[in-house]
Amino acid sequence: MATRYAFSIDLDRCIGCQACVVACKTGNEVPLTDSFIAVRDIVRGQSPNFFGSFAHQRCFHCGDAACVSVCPTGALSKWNGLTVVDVDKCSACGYCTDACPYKVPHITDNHVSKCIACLDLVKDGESPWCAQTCPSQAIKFGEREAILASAKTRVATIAARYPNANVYGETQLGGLGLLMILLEKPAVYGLPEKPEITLRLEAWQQVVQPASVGLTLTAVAVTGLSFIIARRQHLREKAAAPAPAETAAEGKSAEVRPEQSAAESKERKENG
Amino acid sequence: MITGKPYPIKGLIAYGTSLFHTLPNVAHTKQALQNLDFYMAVDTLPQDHVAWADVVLPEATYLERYDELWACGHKTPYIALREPAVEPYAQTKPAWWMVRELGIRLGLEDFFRWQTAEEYLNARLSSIGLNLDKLRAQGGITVQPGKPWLADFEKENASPFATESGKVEFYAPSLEKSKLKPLPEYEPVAEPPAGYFRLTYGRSPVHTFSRTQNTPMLNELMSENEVWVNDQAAAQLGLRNGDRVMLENQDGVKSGPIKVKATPRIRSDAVFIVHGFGHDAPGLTRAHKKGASDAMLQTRYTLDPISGGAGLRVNFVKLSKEA
Repeated sequence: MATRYAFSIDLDRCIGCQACVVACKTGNEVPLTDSFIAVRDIVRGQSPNFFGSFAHQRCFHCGDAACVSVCPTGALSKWNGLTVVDVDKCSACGYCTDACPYKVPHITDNHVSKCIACLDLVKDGESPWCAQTCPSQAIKFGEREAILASAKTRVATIAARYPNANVYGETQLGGLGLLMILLEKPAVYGLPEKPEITLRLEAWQQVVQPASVGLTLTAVAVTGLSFIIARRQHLREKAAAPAPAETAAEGKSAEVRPEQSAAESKERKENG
Repeated sequence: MITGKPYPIKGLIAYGTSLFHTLPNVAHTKQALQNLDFYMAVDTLPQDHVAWADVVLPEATYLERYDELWACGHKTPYIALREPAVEPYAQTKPAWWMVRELGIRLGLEDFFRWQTAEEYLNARLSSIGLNLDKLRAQGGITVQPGKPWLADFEKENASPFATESGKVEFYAPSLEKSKLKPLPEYEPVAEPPAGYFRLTYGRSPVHTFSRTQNTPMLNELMSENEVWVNDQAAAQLGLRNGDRVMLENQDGVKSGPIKVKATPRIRSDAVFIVHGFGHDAPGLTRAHKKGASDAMLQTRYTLDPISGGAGLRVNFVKLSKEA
């Protein structure tokens, strides 16, 4: 069985310093004005009773990735549990931005933009930039089973301080590839407890997409057929008149020529 | 520099110090600069104070120059190399080069034995059997085996603390001799007058002092500071998140406009701003006129009678909505 990788973000350890954002941008050469990841502080309640934490907006690398399902060009795909991007294949249709339950992928500079899990580093056995850089070791990366186990251990450790602490992403959407160690219930962080791929999306996957594939194939078939017919017609017309010397290089017309001249001379003989 | 006492100061060289942000009471700093005959600034950035200099020497940044070895004596001691990654921009030069060239012109060549930074660093490294090439080959860092810091003292049966008792002194008899309180007592500070908040300041992890506000990527993450106001206090003032206000201190000095951040994260008698904003220098194109400056609003400070440390959180500001 293939490896399944995952990230975890420990919001008890996150200090909101944004070093992950800067490391991601420099490491992946993400242009200014764009970003694969974002961190913002959240505050719930009013003084003196309030709760503060940090919310991370970034790809969850869903087990059942809606963006991958809707992507018509294969620009988004799964690799060992990670949702990876091939921008060269992207047509900037934007279906992924509508499909993502977390509103993560966005279109910029005519292609999709989202966390690419630093695939080059991961393939070399290294951790993504954010995990390497995090000064409080809040971001981890590794095989999902181990990451999940350590996330659960952390939740147990902080339970005395945060009774509502939980691991978000163990089961959601086929199991997320980014497990969040939340200090409060998911709703406090604006995360859906049970994210769902919308009905519209299911319809897209099961009806519209196959139908469009069918239509495309039909179109290809029709084009092919008309080409064959046109070609045959073209050759027939050519056969009717002697071909000019320059175009005679083509195999078929070269074959036709001797017969043609033979037929012509025969004709002349008969007439003469 | 202002009083000319105990002796007049007529020349100043500011090196990598943003005078108008590092020191409180900017008006005072400007008055002091006006008393000088000669003022030279060495900096990597066209900071506010640089415009006041008679001579400006633009310095190469830390990514374009050699620096002194980074020798760290912590639990795990190490020595690290700081070397250039790219060539210096335009005519900028490293500060060691400037100092050497000035020294030579002043006839002090004997004090500058090494012609290049590499030569100097090699001389230093040779004392531990290393040189630049060897240090580079091992990744630019040499880690020493650590040992408990107290081991040397224990061997000599000595104390690391330079006190009479040889211990950490909470009650210090030496202070008593200097007619100071041997056990410092809390002295209440002045409370903000009606309508004013205590001005507190601090850092954001995004920015370093007053020198990164113009750095594109960091500027994008945080392009201006906000004034944190207690959510309920803000509501009473009719202020909402994102409103722009001017900060005016007890001496009528203003800074801003600055965005309001109404938050339960601060008590109701104080406001907070991140240090390092409110740049006046037009050369800092992104940071120019963004946010408010704490240094500007700190027209008062108190000095600790024992340590001499300056207490800057003794200023009060009121918030007025921008017209």
